[in-house]
Amino acid sequence: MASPPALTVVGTGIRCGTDLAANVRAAIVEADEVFLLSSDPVSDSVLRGVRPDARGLAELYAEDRPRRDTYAAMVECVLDGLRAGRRVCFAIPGHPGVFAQPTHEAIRRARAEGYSAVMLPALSAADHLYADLGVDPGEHGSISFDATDFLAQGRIADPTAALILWQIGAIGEMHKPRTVHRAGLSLLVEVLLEAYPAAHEVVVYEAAPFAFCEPVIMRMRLDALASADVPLLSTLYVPPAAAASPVPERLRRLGLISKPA
Amino acid sequence: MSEPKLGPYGRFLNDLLTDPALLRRFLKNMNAVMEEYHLSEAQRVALLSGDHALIEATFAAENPHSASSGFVRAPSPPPPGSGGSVDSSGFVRVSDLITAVDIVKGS
Repeated sequence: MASPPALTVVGTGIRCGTDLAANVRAAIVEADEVFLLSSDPVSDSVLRGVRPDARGLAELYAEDRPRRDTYAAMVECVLDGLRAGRRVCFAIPGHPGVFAQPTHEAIRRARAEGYSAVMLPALSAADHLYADLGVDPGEHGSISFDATDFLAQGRIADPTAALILWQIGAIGEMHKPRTVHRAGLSLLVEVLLEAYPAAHEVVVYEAAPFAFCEPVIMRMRLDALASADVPLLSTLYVPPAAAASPVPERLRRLGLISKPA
Repeated sequence: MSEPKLGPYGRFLNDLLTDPALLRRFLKNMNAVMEEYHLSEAQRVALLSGDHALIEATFAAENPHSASSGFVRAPSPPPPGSGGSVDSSGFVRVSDLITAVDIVKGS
């Protein structure tokens, strides 16, 4: 008996080829139909080596097409495959659940229509950042925002925890980003200077897409960031600038310190 | 329909990124491994540069059929006014509004 239609959403990782987990590869190979979104032609070529008949979703992007419409079209492609009775694999770069609206939406809609749908985790840019910068998000805590979200929503930086801001080169960019948005970067620095010293060292980071390349790691003073030549889609890592202050009452209630005499 | 064949540089990248033994050999002796694939000077320079964009552009130049589709490296956001939704609490969901946030690099 044929297997029932089902959706498997997978991520192909950041580093082309070498980040592809065995279970993700198997999902791509074993599906009846694969929808593939690639970040660049090299990755696309490598993944088509795994599944030559994969259907490319990048073709749905267009200069004058609202991103939301593109995402909706991707979801419809995936759902059409399920409705036709196929086992569908939806593969995107990085982690399939991080900064990935259409994958979550495809799973939600598939389940709402009664299909089995699962997401297989994969390596994200954050995972590469922890490894390449040698930082542990559990050591001081870590807060992460898209850089535009951080500014637009008036997020509050906590200098006792690490702060990770994504896509600092495209802050406030409402059209296809081609160059770094300098005004956005300047505003970001201005806001961060309210919480961190000007001399505080920050790190501009971009993961290496190929195993034989080095990641971009640029260390600089915070007040030098606005004029720095940062990659368009780079990430900003802001290490903690101050120690956290334990709360004695909570420590007592947790049994972590004894009651005062 | 079969995929058009890749040129030497494209084949080299595909092999390099899917064959751990070749990658190890390449990292030990780059010039010797590139010699085996008969890469041009420009292709060797691209590989040795470590420049992601140059590596991809060199691939696209050799294999235009593989690079003909739109890729998502540089995300295009929705036009102003089309994005952003308000949830039941009245908050604007900036993830809907910001188009630079994409499934490319954040993920």
